[in-house]
Amino acid sequence: MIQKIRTTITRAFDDVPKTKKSAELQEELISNLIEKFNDQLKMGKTEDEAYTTVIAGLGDLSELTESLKEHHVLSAPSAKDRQRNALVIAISVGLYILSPMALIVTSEVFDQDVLGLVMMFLFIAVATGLLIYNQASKPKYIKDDETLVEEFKEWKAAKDKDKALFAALSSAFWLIVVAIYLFVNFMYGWWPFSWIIFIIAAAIQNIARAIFALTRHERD
Amino acid sequence: MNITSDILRGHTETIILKQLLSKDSYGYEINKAIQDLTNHEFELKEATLYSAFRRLESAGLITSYWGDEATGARRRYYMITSEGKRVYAQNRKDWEDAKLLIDSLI
Repeated sequence: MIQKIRTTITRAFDDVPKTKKSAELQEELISNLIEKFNDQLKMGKTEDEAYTTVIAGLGDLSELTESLKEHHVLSAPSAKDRQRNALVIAISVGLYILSPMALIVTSEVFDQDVLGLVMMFLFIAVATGLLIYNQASKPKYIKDDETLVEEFKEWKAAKDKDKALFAALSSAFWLIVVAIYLFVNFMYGWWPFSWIIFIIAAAIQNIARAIFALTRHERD
Repeated sequence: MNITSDILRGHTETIILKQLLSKDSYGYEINKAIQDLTNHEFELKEATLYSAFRRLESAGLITSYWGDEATGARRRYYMITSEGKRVYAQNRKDWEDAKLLIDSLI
């Protein structure tokens, strides 16, 4: 008879996504119903009567199962997504490494300084664009139930994404700064005062970080 | 009886919160207590009871944990949070007000 109660409950959950949450709810329900069933027996009821009482007391279980059907979205990235992700990052890093080469080759071999610089920035721009696109197009974490833990995971995922985006932007930024530094020094010999660019760059980065933090604060 | 069950349904969550005020408890035990308090005139349907738990939990008014029973199936215990206590006190006050109001109207 206890098996019959178990089956009744599992059947009611047939078309509910098989999440941890739904499994726990079934376990909880079954353990409470079995206790109720045993109490009915102790009160002198027959097994059939006890079973009928337990089932009659259930009410409309769809009330319960409907709530489990919402919010269920797979959140883990697929293997395909991960592959694409790795490819994009590899190409971007390759472009970063090649960007000074573009400058050197174009200016030394073809004696085209401006063109070389344009080429280098083009490479950096494309690589940064790729990284940003890659970060921004990742699926965000979607809550699969309404608990605090899920909320925390969602918040953390959003935070990590923002952090990665910021890191990608700032590494590109520093590369550009170094490139400008080297360029003005070798081309125009501004050695005595060109170091100021690093202080300016640090200031710009901090301002950017502050703006970034402010907008996020407002969004929250 | 119909008016009674309508009114009771509107207070399912407050009824559960009150049961959790004195001690942590689990579904069947709460329902038994409710039956005893009402001389077996009232009992929550399981579907209603467990849906209410889910709502209370997502609202942060209760939290749950699994008991460590030595024998038989595990029980999920519920515990009221401080926010739950606050909401209970507020609901109780609202109910007192409503009672006075209805008494003067009916």
